[in-house]
Amino acid sequence: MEKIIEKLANKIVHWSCSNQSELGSEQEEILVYGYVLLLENAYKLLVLLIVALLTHTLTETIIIVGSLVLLRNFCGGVHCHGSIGCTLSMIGVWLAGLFVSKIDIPVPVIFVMAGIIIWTIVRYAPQTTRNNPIQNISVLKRKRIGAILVMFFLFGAAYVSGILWGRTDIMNMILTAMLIEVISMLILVEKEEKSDEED
Amino acid sequence: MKKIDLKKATAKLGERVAQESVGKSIPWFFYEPKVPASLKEKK
Repeated sequence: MEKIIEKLANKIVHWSCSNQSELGSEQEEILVYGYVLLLENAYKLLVLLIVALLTHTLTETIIIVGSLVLLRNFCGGVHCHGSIGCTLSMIGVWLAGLFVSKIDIPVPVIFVMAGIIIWTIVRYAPQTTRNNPIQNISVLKRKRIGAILVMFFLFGAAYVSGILWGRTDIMNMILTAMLIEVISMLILVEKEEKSDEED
Repeated sequence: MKKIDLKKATAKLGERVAQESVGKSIPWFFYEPKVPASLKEKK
């Protein structure tokens, strides 16, 4: 899938720069990378939207994927090796969220989930990869503050929906998405520690 | 009304997304394309 997206990105770049006499290889690389990012996100959103529409679970999909994406934007976490793996992971998250929305999570388990989420985010957010590390202190600070604010926002949404409105299915979906995200952070922390030891 | 050069805007969009992503943003999903060396050097 990466090859298809890269080919499409290349086509877009060559079309957009057809007026220019010469496009340097470095500049071309940068533009292709930008379009790969845009197309990857667009394709994944499209896949999730199609799956949601086919299964009549649009609201649930927005809640699950929205919670995950909102938190992941600030917290980071592990990535798959390929685009297909990523798409399958997102579908896995969506399935997990849907499954959990149908069951009753005992209150002690909810507290444990919340505890793990809070501890991981406060201790480790943001987590970035060696491929694209964030090293600027002010950007890191913004991401960290954002992660904590989003965490409180999502907890608030889960509380309002589950406790005040009685919609425990929504609460479960939000908490599950948050838990999956912090697990992905912990996996990345473990991976980076192992790589540091090998170095 | 200002005429928009679609090709120029498309190229600018790609460049902007690439530059804003390196060292500044985290991907939404579970895949992160390899950052070109030329972009890493600039940061």
